[in-house]
Order: sequence, then C-alpha cells, then structure tokens
Amino acid sequence: MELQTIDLYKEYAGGRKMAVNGVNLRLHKGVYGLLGANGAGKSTLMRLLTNLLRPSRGQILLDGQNIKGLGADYRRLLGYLPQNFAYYPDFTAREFLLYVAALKGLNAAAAQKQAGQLLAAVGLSEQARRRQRIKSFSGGMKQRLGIAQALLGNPQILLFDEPTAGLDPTERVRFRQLLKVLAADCIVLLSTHIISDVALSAPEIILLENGRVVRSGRQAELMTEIGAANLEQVYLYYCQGGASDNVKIG
Amino acid sequence: MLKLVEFELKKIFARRSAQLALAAVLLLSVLLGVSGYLNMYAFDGKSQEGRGGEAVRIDKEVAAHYAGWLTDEKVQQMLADMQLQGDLHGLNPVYLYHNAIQSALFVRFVDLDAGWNGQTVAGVFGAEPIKIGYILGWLTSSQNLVKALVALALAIIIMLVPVFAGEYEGVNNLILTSRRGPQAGCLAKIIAALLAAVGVTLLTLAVNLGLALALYGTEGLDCSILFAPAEFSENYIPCNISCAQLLAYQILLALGSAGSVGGLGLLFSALCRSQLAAFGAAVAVYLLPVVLPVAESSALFRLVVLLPLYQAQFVALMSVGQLSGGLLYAALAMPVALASFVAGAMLAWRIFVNQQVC
Ligand SMILES: Nc1ncnc2c1ncn2[C@@H]1O[C@H](COP(=O)(O)OP(=O)(O)OP(=O)(O)O)[C@@H](O)[C@H]1O
Ligand SMILES: [Mg+2]
Repeated sequence: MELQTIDLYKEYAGGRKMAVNGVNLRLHKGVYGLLGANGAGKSTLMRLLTNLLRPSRGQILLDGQNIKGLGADYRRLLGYLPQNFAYYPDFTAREFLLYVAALKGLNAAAAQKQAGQLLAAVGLSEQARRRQRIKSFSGGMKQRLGIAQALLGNPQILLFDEPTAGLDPTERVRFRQLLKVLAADCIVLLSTHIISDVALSAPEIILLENGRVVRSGRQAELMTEIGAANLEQVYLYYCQGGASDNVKIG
Repeated sequence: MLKLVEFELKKIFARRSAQLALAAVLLLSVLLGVSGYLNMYAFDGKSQEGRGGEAVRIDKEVAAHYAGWLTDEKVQQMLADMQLQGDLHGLNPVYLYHNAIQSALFVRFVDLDAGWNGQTVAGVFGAEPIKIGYILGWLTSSQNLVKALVALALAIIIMLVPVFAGEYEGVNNLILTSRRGPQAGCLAKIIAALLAAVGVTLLTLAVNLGLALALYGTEGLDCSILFAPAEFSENYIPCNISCAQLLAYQILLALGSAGSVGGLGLLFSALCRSQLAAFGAAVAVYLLPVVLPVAESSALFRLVVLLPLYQAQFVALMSVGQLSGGLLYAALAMPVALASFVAGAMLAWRIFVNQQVC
C-alpha cells in the first residue's frame, strides 16, 4: 500500500496564504512523524489526506488511484483523529464508539467487541462501566476516546493530528506502545510539535515549514547527516529558517 | 441503518432545548384547552346560566333541542323561542351572546331589531343541507390546535436545527471520513428528522384532540361547521364540511406542516454553521408569509397559502375553496409539503457532504 501526494497545494484567503505549498510525499506501512511549528500546515495536510479538504492543486493517490474517485473505498481504510476532537457531551464513551462504528459500517457484534477492546486499550473501561458521560471526562480522557474511535474498524491508514495533546506521561507511553503494534500493518501519520513524542515512536520523520516539506527521511539518517545528537537538533536545524547559524550542533 | 437512525433520534431528543420546546408546546396545548373550556359561557335565555362545564352542558341542551337538518321551519321556531325580552339599547343583536345556537342564529337570520331578516336557509347557505348541533367545543379546540401547531413548528425547528449544524462543531470530521457517514449517516439524519417531526406532531395532536374529546365528547362531530357562533362566522372557513372533516384536514395538514417545517429546518441546519443563525433564518422564512403583502383576493394568494405557515394556520388555506370531487384546495398542501421536505433534506445533504472542513 502506498499513499502518495503529488505537488499538493492548498491556498487560503484567495491565494494569499499557502497552507500547503507543493508537498510531495510517499508513505508506506510504518509510523511517520509530521513535525512543524504552529501554522506550518500539518493539520491542513492531514485534512487533505482525509479528503475533508480539496487541494487547490495536485493530487493524492492511493496505490496510483486518485482518492477523489475512490470514495467509500478510501474512507473504509481511514482512521482519523482531528486536532480538535469533538464528541457528543451526553453520550457515554461506549455509545460514542458504537455510533462511530455504525458510521464505519461495522455490524452490531463487531462494534460491541471492538468498542470493548478499544476502551480497554485506551484505559477507559472503568468510565464505560460506570456509564459516565463524555462531558464529565477530563481533557486527556476525551483525547483517549478520540484515539479509540480512530482505531475502530481496523483502519489501514491512520491520521493522528496531535494525538498526545493532553495525555499524561503514562498515557503517552501507552499510546507509543499502541503505535508499535499498528506500525506493522498500517500507514500511520502522526502530527505534532512535541518532538519527544515522535522521537520515540516514529522512525520516519517529515519536517514541515510554511507548508513545505523541508526535509524527510529516516530519523537516524537525518541525525547522522548533520551530526545531531537528537531529533530536536534536527528540527531546529531545518525548521527555524536557516537555524544552523544560531544553533550549535554536536 | 436502523442503528444509525436510532443514534440520530437519541441525539435529537437528548438535547435540553428540544425537550424544553416540546414540553412548552404540550403545556401550551393543555393550558389553551383548559382555559378555553373554563371560559365557555352559556345562558339558555330563560333560567339557566353558567360557565365552564356548566356552560357546555347548557349549550348542549339547547343544541339538542334543534339538532338535525336546518330548515326554514326550524329557523322560525328558533327565532320564536329566542325572542328577546328587553330592549337592546342600540346594540346590534349580532353581538348578543347567550349561547352557541342563539349566536349562530342571530348572526345570519336577524335584523337590527332582532326580528327575522327575511333570509332563508338556502339563501344563506346555498342548496346543500346543513346539519346543526353543538359544535362550539370542537371549533374552539380546533382554533387552540392552530396555536399549538404554530408553536410546534417553532419547536420542530429548534429540534432539527442541530441535526447538521451541531456536527459543524467537529463531529463532521468523523462523519465525513467514515465509510458510511456521507451516505447512510446522512440519510439516517434525514429519516430521524422526519420521524422526530412527525412523532412530536402526532403527540401534540393526541394531547389536543384527546383533551377536546374528554371535555366535549363526540357530540357535534357530524355537524356542519357553517352554523357556528359569531366568532366563527366572519373570516372562517366557508365550506359545508362536518367538524370531523375539519379535524381530518387539520390532522393531515399538521402532518404536512411537520414535513415542510422539517425540510426548512434541515436546510438551514446544513446551510448555517451556527445553530442560532440556522434557527433565526428558518423561523424568519417560516413566518415570512405574515409580512407578504398579498391580498386574499389576489391570485397569488392561492400559492402563498400553500407555504408551511398556512398548514398550521389552516383557516386561510381551507377557505380557498374546493377542487373537484368534494376535495378542498387545502389537499394540495400535502404534495407541496412532501416536496418541501424532500427538497430541503436533499439540499441539506448535498451541502453537508460537499462542505470543506477547514
Ligand atoms: N480556514 C482557514 N482560512 C485561512 N487560513 C487558514 C485556514 N486554516 C488554516 N489556515 C492557515 O494555514 C496555515 C496552516 O494551518 P494549520 O492549521 O494547517 O497549521 P498546523 O501546522 O496544524 O498548526 P498547529 O500546530 O498550530 O496546529 C496557518 O497559517 C493558518 O493560519
Ligand atoms: Mg494543527
């Protein structure tokens, strides 16, 4: 499976703002960390990849076929956690998952089974058992529910926009472990500006600045290339507008 | 699909705004019904006078005396029985109210001195036979139902505005990226919206008509609406139909109203990103005919009267007249309502599915 973007552009404000500016990517099975500053265009790129947003120019291909024409066949493969995960406040976590499962076309038995498994996987079984409404969840609990809903239906393309926002250290570790399992079968794209999140879980890194991919490749190679000790240095090197002048490396 | 519809219904009815709106409509129905009953007044012209239940009893007693087909002999008999005793002091006898039958008689058959005005039954009502009896209870209930149905239309808009607009708060991301969301997910929304609108309409009808049945019984249902007291003579439906037929049309039009208002609510729900804006716009369009400068005599009125507001406010629509075969023009509102729902729902669907999530 290959997800490819070809000369992808997205402009706003009548062309005055290029949120995504000529992005060419090829994604295969594995975890990709999409790193960039606030406003770099990470969420816009994610939305283009979900087909929620139409590109101004360029195309997105899945195994050579434009996703625009694939419709439900493409959506069937998708799992998406938006940056601002929204929910129905009066639903319980299980109800919400069952709703999303129905949207994804899971039958009742599969929906029940997967909802139970995913609630356990993100540590929300207790809240589900108590039939706690989502509105009474903490921020991190809501985010975990968001992660769980993305995983329903065993999607093969997972797009997580800032998945670790609001998660405590234990939950971050749990999420990382989840990613390891998913990496074997799925394309996972993980956007964040928290470098430590991707440093530990994404072997492939895509650095985005002002809508452009300034560098991408295997984490280890990127570090060796410039003699960086960690990913943070790689990020600062590429993403601070010629940062090599003001950052000492090595 | 069933599961999705179930979820959509839950979303609609779980909202506090929907629950409050529905409760308000039902409370209004009960208050109007009960106050209408308590405010009834009747005097049999001799010794009995009363309000509320007593008035209804007196009215029914007087009506029972003359029940059946209205003939010229019966009019003369009534005029003789209801001869006024004292001086009217210049009051037009049309405005004199003793009881429902007396009022119906005076409005049509007396002159300024409260004597016979020379009119015959055929002269007033035409060739069709007129069945008379106690109809005031049902006519009053029907008028109360008009008010309840207009309030219900607003309640339906409140209930349906979040169907699409609520998703713009973020769940649209999940709906539109899921396999079945854009198709089955949206269709489920439309089906649930229709079920909700029709369901609350049936509930409102049941409460209103059930209350009327409890207060006034089945009497008068087979009588013509034409021999009615003064308040139902001018600007009221001029067709010789029975109370039961009147209610049947009102029930049908109420269901039509549920559909057309549902279509309107869904359309603005998808069109406006904010629920408040969607509500404001839908209500404005719903109430628009009130400010349209279209006279009842103009040809355009026959079209205006098919708009959703007049399906609840049904007197104007029912007054347009007959089609062929005894069917009233009002029946045309049903296909119009169906078309409004389908058009509103389909447009809403298109708008929602083709949105760009920025
Ligand atoms: N609807 C919009 N209209 C105009 N400009 C927009 C719109 N959405 C995003 N932008 C602009 O596009 C650019 C990229 O935004 P985007 O949300 O993709 O950034 P991001 O990398 O996800 O940032 P963050 O880390 O803060 O989430 C920003 O400059 C933003 O202001
Ligand atoms: Mg973002």
